[in-house]
Amino acid sequence: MTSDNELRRRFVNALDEVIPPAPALEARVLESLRREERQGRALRPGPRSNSATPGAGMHRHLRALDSDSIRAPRFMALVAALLAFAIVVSMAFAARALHLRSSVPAHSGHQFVRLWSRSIDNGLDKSTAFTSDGFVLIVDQESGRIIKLNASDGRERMRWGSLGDGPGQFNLLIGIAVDAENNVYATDYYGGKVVKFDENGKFLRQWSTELPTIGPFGIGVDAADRIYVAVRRDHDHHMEVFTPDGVLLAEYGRTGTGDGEFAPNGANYDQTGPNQIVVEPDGKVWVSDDGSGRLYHFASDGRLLLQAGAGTQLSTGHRFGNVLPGFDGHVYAAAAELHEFDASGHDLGIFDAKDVGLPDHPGYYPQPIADPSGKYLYVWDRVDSTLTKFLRQ
Amino acid sequence: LTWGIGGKKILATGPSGGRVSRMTVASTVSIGQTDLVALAKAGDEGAFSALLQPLIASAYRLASSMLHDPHAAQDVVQESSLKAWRKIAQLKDGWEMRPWFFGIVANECRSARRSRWWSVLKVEDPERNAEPPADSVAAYSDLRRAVRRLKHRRRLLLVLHWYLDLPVAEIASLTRSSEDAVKSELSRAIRQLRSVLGEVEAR
Repeated sequence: MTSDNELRRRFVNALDEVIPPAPALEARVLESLRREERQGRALRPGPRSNSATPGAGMHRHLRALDSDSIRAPRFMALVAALLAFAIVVSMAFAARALHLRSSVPAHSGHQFVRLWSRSIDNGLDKSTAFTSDGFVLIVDQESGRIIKLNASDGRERMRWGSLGDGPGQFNLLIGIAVDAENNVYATDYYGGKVVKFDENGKFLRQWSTELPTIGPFGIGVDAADRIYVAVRRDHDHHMEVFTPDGVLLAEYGRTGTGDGEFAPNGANYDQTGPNQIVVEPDGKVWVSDDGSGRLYHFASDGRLLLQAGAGTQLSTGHRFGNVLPGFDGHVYAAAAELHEFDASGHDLGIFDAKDVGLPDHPGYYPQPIADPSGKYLYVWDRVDSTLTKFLRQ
Repeated sequence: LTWGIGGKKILATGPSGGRVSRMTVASTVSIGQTDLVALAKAGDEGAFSALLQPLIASAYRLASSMLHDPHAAQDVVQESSLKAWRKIAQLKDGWEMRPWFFGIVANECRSARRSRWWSVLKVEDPERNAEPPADSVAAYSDLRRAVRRLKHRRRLLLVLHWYLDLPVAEIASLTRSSEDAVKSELSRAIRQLRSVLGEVEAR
């Protein structure tokens, strides 16, 4: 039997081996604290502990009422409740004034936080990405623009991009991803290129995928800032991996009908192939194949880890055409309904619009967008062009 | 060590004025912590940051050990930090920041593991691979699997004591239990770990 000291040494090594350094974490945490302080959203300690800032988000107020940090006499609690009620009512009127819908029904499994509507085109799946400093990016394919919204209140911070062939312009803007420094990468399918912007939308560089024709579709970034691009080009569907400067590191996958291959479809060449992708921090990639209706999970070196969907060992009879990031390493894969898969490929069930209290649009699935903090779920309703925010419970 | 705190500066330097031993620094930090806590409770975000900053790396290691997901661990540390800031007024006089903050992190880890939240229509499990993809890091994988099989509390105690090197007294403060209870639970955790590894019978 090993000694306690030897077991402890092995214990420490075992954990050290799989915990990567997080050099940016300290800055991220301190920045989030500063942001809270600036925006006045935190329940301020000490003398200011009961002074939730007017204008802060509704969810903050709700949290404030729940917080056990508030230890006021009953009368004060009543006053606070009345004040909160007044704030909620005034916010509801404000929302009406801003033409925001507020008719989302209650649901026991989540807490509605906010709904807003923006002039974002509908009809297509939205590629989205979160920045580490609290913004959500959504692509607007019709205008070739990237829209940056404040994830806490939905206010638009900025939008940039345009249609065209020039640097930083898009013929068909499809995918979007953000690296650790909040640089933004976007794919131009018909332009055959990947475009990189800084966090303020300043054009930095662009590069073509291996063959500068159509093709770049879904895009994602791993924890090491490697850029993964699904290339959708008939008879040459595959994945490409780049450095942040556009140097090709690797490629894997191919057109075919075998395991892990992307199905061809002659005439409708741009209707098949890999769709959006979800890249995990360690470089594993989830990708859906429109042609075969399969969902693939690849290791960082391109090995096929599992496949689900029509005609696979994890066959559910469904044909999957899109994949979206979920919480806890899960993904959502879209067929006629939106299924949730865990990392082992288990189909956990259907994410239904009704589950989050949203209107059900037959033929369309709600598009959930998982906040990387794991705190909120955003749901894009592409029929009504609304984005709704829920507090995860 | 010099911290800027909301326009003020608090100086905490070893007696030699230059390179200081770890023990000296820890002692000096401990002396300055009372002031920092008081400032933080008064709403000084800079003081709170100064208290928090030395704990972030360890908190990340704690969360990663509990969640086995570095990405989620970073989120937990960030969320715990915001929660600690909102609740700093609850840090009682005489309490240390470290066990109090690590307690919040541990609770957040527990919440993160429970956080299936929306109702879904369960469908019959499809055929599936019995085993998940092999761990790419082969060494110590048996031990890691054994650690994952420990209950949350036992894993937490082992991580705090063995991995983060926290003394039993501090762990007792963090878990709000007695030192004897912590020692006893640690002993059972080690025994269970050995059992899972096939070394001895568990009790």
